[in-house]
Amino acid sequence: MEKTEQSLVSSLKRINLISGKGGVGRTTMAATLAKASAKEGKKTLLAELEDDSGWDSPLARHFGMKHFPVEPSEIENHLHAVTLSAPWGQEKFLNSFLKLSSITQIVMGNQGVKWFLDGAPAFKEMGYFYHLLTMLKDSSYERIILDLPATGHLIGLARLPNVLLKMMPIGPIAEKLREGQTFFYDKRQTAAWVVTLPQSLPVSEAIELNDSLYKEQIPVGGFVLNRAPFNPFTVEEEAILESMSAKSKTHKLMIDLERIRRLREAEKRLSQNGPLWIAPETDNPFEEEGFGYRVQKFNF
Amino acid sequence: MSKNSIFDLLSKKRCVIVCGGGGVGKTTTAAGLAIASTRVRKKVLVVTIDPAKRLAEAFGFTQRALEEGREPILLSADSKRALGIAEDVELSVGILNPKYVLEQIIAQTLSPVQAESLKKTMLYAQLSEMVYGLQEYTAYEWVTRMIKDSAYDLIVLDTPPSFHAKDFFLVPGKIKNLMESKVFQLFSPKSGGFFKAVLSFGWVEKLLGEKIYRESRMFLETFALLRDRILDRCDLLAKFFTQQEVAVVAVTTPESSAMFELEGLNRFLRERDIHLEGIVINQVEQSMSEAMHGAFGVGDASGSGEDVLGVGDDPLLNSLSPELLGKLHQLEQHQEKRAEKSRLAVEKCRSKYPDITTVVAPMVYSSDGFEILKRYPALF
Repeated sequence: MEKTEQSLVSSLKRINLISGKGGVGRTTMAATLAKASAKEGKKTLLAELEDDSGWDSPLARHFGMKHFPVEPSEIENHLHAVTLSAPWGQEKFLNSFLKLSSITQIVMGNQGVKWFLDGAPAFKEMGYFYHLLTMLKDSSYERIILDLPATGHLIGLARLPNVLLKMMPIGPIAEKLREGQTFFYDKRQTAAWVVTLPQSLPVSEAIELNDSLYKEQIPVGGFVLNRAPFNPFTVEEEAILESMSAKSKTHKLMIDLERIRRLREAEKRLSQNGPLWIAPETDNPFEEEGFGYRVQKFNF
Repeated sequence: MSKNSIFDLLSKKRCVIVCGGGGVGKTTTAAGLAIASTRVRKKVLVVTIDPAKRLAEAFGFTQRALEEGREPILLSADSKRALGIAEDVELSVGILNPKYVLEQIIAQTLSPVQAESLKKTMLYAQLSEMVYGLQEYTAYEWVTRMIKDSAYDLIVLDTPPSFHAKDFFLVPGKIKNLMESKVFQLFSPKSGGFFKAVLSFGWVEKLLGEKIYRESRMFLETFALLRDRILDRCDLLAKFFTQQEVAVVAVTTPESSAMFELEGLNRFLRERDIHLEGIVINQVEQSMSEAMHGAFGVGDASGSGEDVLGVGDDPLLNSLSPELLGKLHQLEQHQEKRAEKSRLAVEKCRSKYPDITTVVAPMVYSSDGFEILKRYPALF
């Protein structure tokens, strides 16, 4: 079907950064896309950043797990999952640098070094970054989907290479940062997806995030307008209803139409700022078979 | 525990902390609470934190004015009139600027030379984004200062956006742990030669490069000087939440993920002897007839709503084609389904927290900040 070619799943790049403010359904969207991608037979990796609060991961909860493992493992057919961990990344980086893991253990076992890596700013992010880089370099993954909880995380990760490279333009870390940059800034293989809702504030925030991603040179795949309300009307019918509701400001039609108006406004504002995909409102998108394919590109 | 109405809290407490997960309408609720409180309080301050700044926009301030403003800004007479606030009330809005508060702490604690060398490190520039909890910490610094000054009858604090609602309350402990961690002790002027020796071996320097190693060291050495001051403050703050004059109000939505978050928050607060005294359920969906008659209804249309579409004697709807009417009915049914889901969630919440006042704030369809805020006082 022609429609399928316009679905979000089929538009995914190899590396997909799923971002958006809290409460917009971003995590469910990441889980849904990963599931749909694996269903196509593509070896898919679903990743998230480790949260040190000790609470269960909402992403893993979709798959009946408390947390994803630090080493990727296959949780469903073709679907692999991983938690990106800062200490893991730091240790593996030291390993690659010091060549011998026994030496790494001595170094990592040294309290002074541990404290330093834990306390000094930027090293935690560096740990995430290296762990992520390890995954990106594993070319057996045909699709990687990373759920980024706060918009700050994405911008932080995006900015990290530039910030650190200024401080240490040469050396082993700089090398890794440059390597990471080649992945992040390559629009042939990477896309950030900005999930949002059809309400004016979430739309404004999504546009702001899109602008800052653009500034950081991260390629943006587009906006995903989540929980788009049911709209059975044709354009002509909408016009009829609009003209009727204009006659009576207190009419029930006003409420009927308000939700659709907001949808239209969101569609308009977002599509002026980038490509737009629309995800219909549903009770539980994760449980719904083939939901990923119902997220369709918006065309005028 | 007696059941207070949220309005009671606003008339008795010195500080109301508004918390909740992402996207639940925390900032709007904080503003709504502040406006509602002006019916009984004369000097009210509502504090929020970047990066949202929505509150300020809704109050009619420009982004720029707030970025430059380092002290709370008084609402203009025009804004007060538009929001239905009495003329003799002073309502101020403060936007926390972590960098500014940090500068103040540094200026009060370090010598000018030390302060200079700290600020020169690149790490300092990244500090506000990279050190966990700086926003929260500066919120405490501010609020405790304001309470001490007695400049306000009531302070409504909108907590910083975070992954979990409870994060705000964890901050004093986390900062304390960080400050007491060995990495800061290592660089503290009081620490002995042994610790210094541990770090003087070449691995770290070789790995990181000379520049960043030197910078990190300088940063940590100077920052360690702030340690005692910050530690003192953390002890005070940990006690702050349990004070009688401080109330915690949680904001949620009928969404199951938000309710799950609320459950965790309530459990967490209870374990720490902090009382959750109110719950505001935002974005509650209503059926058409409820929406027409409720406090948030559009206009004051009559009609009893027994026939949802009210086609009966409505000349407007009667003129529509049967096909279009059918579609309107479909739309109606969708809304009924949403309303039913919301209703169940609200009921479940009320029976789960029988001792806590629960306020339902219906979904608003306006994008006009003033319109949204004006509707809040009637709820509390």
